[in-house]
Amino acid sequence: MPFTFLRSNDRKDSKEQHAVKSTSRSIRDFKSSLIKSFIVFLTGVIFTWQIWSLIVNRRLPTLQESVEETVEATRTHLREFLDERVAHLDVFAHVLGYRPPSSQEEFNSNVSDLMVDFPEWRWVRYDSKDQAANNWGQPFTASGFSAPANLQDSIQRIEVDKSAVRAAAREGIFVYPIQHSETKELYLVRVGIVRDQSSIGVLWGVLDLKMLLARYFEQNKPDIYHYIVSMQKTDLVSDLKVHERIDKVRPYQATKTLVWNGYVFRIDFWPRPHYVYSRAIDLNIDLAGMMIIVMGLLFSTASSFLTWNVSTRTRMLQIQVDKRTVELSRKNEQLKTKSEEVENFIFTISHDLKSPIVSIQGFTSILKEEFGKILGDTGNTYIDRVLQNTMKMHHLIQDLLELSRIGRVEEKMDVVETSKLVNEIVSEHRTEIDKKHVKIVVQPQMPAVSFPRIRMHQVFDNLITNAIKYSDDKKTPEIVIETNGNDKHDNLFHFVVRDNGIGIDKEYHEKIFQIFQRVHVDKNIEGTGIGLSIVKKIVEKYGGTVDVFSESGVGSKFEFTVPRENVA
Amino acid sequence: MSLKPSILLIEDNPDHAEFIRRVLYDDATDVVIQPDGQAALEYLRNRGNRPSFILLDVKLPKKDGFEVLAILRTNERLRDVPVVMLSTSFNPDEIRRAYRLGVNSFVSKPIDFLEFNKKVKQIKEFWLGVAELPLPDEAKSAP
Repeated sequence: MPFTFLRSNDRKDSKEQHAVKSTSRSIRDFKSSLIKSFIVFLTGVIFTWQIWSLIVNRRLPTLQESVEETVEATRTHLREFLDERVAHLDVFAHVLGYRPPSSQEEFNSNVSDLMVDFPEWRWVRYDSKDQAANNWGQPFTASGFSAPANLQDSIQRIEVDKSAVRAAAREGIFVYPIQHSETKELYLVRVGIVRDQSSIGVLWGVLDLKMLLARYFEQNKPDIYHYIVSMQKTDLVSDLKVHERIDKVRPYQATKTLVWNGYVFRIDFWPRPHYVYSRAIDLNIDLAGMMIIVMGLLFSTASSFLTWNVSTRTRMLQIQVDKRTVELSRKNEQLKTKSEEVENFIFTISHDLKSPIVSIQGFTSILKEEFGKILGDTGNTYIDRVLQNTMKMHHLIQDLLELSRIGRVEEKMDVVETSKLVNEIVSEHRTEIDKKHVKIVVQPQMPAVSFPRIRMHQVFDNLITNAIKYSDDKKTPEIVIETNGNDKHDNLFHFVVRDNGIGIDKEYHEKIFQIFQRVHVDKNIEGTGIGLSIVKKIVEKYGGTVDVFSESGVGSKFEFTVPRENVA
Repeated sequence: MSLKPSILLIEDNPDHAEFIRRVLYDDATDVVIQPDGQAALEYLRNRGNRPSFILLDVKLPKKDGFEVLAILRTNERLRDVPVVMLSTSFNPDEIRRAYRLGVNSFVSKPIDFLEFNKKVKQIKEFWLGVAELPLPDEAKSAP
């Protein structure tokens, strides 16, 4: 049995099943999508990690190596460079010594000629031993130099001991570094013995080490390194070892030592700032590359997540929409059923309520007809009241049912020729009109509108009936039915029903459209108090409005509108 | 076999039946009242002669007016008996349905008693005085 039930509700259930299916599919997709996203994310993380470590681990050794290389090259080159300079010195000494100038001026000019290429040398010549003995060391002391002790010794020896001078001459060359007493700048001193026929001269030169090294670095490593050279005479090899390493803490800085002629030059290197920046920029470029990769991965992960998210959301929404649609169509059907039920209910009620009224009317009428004489005047009056009241009850029921139907029941639109319709209504009320001598004016050729005919009839009928009912006994009643203000371009037709009847006080203008609101309590005027409510409800249902313009004792004007789209 | 014309009134409301009977009944006319559709159909089956015409209320217990009408219209013997339907309510759907089923006329009961009487009288006058009715099959084959 349940199966046949399912089958009989095939369509509805297939929708539901579809919703259920797509829900479970969505959940499956959600899971797989989650797993995929996670795998992509994990791969991304591992990949990024690998690349990062590759870059970081490679970058630093490269820089260290570069420093090391530079330092090594510098040491070699510097030694050669210094040797070369000293060799130059020897050459000059030789040249100068063998071609001794006649005067100090000549010597100076010779020197300055030679010094064009080698500006780092300073030269002094002593022409005689005495002269040398007297002036030895003066250039140093005068310009703030202090010769090292061993040099002083040499000087002493040169001065005092001829054999020592000879020995020095035989040795040929003495080279000593000296330091400026104030500036602590280092100089290299070359002492040469110059012999000619008449005298033994001392050729003395100073090599400005700072200038020399500056020149060296300018030529060889112009951009890369700062350097400081310090120098000491040492024999301790351990000292060298201490310095001969790359500072691990500051990997871009290095200290190297150069042993040369018994002296140790210590050179501290570190990159110039712009070099560091350029390297940093290199690193940054790598970093940027890496960032691009990382961002790409992140983006791809995010996009895959988003795609999943969007598609899932769409599907979720679709499911919701499906569900809602099913619900809605169900509700709709329920409503339709309800509406039909209400409709049936109303017919049943109208039938069931009407039947007893017919009975009451019938029996009362028979009573009146056949037993009226026995009942007498009072009895007859009472019987009339019963009849009136049952009639009133009947009208009430009819009107209430009518009111409940408007807006609830969809009605077919008809082409209604309003002039014709109004004339029909007027002829329906001919009896009362003639009885009250009402003058009725119906504007010919009022527009045709698209409106349920029965409703349009009700609207005009209620308004005209009211106009007839509430006529003023003191005047000849006049009712005009016309269109008004149709040149307003508001896409509306304006219909007017106006009379010269008793009118309505302004304070009641709102009230009269409410149900059971009757302004004039006159026993002679019948009415249920529903008519204008019906008019308002009908007019508003079809997109119009209804207004009253009235003054007590002057008359009333009811104006209602029908949208022009409703024009047939 | 009575030569008097007979009218079958199928009406569940005894009051309404009484009102109608008062109008229809006279020495020359038989009026038979049946309170529901089932009873009316049984009466028609068991009785030899057919009524001149049938007044049929819409709302009836057991079998309603439409069912009775539908059965009458499929019955070989009774299909040409005129049927006038009476209804207390005014329902366009009911009216349309009745005519589709082959009713001869549809009349709604007025509230006003005088109106009511007038209408019933008009019905009687029309069907018994104005309209020609088909002869019953028995009458045709009798001689």
